[in-house]
Amino acid sequence: MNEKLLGIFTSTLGIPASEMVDDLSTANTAAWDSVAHLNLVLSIEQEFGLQFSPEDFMRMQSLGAIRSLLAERGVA
Amino acid sequence: MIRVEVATPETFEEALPLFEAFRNPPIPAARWRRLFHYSWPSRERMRGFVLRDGPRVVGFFGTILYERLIDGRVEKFADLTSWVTLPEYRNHSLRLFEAVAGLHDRTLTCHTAIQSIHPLYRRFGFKELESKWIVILPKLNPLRPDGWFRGRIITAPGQILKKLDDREGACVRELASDICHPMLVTHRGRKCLMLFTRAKGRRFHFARIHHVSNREVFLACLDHIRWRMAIVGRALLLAIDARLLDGHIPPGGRETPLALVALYRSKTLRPGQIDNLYSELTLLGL
Repeated sequence: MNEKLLGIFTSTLGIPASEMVDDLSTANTAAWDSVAHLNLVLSIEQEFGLQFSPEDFMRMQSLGAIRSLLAERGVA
Repeated sequence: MIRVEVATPETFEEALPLFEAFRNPPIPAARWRRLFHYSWPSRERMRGFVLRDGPRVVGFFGTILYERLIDGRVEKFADLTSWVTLPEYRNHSLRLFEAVAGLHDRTLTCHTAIQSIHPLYRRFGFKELESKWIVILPKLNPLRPDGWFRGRIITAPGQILKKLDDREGACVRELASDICHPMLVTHRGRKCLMLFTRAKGRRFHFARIHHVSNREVFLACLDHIRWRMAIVGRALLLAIDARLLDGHIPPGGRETPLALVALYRSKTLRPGQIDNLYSELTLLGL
């Protein structure tokens, strides 16, 4: 899961994998705007075959939160 | 500390520099003011949400709040307008959307969302309100419509109000302005009130009709309406959202895709029950 997820982050936000920590979030990442967030969530849904609710969509505003959510959905 | 707050009429002066930074060509401050100081009575103070960094307003998402009587029920609306955030705060702009999407007690409309952001709206329950309009072309002889007209067309707001009761005339009193114009057709004892804005198309000026109170009268008198629009409204073409004509394409009309698909979210209303009257289209003249 981790490698695929970091690949999505790199291609969507342009952030190298080496700089990605769980604290990475919309609040501290200038490139993570609303359009980037939409693309990020759509890419994650496509990659992992999932569909997120509006509540999940809003919750996914940090790398840590996304990892937790994917774990909850059984993505290993 | 960056936070989201409810915008009120008093927020206007603080938010104005944001608008001036974004709109090209610029919209005069007096028009932006209409989003904050309504020309209709309203008990509600909310005008949308602002994003603040300390005392400074760095983002805004407007809501034009109004009520309409539809099928005997009072329906509450919010027309969404002007989602703007300074570039260095764009990573916080989603918080404004979250606040707006949380308005579940009313019908939401959005006429100017760009296509790339539609999946975001749709994820939060928005559907297509309108994707087409009917453009009604000028007649070959624009000087005089065919046939004797057994009706009357009035465009002066004061005269129109004399012909309407309080309820019928409310939208004229509340919305007629330098950019939103009323027209009343009386024909065989029936009335049709229209409100329209004028805009410059690629080649011609056109009148965009936002409200038609009586579709049958409108269609029956269309030749005379477009002649009058050309003379008084200085608009060669008429454009009207397809849903306002219930899919009917009148002679001389052509269905054309809207540049921006309009969206809505409602628990109670269908697209055909929603017009564009109290919206950013008539307040800002978009």
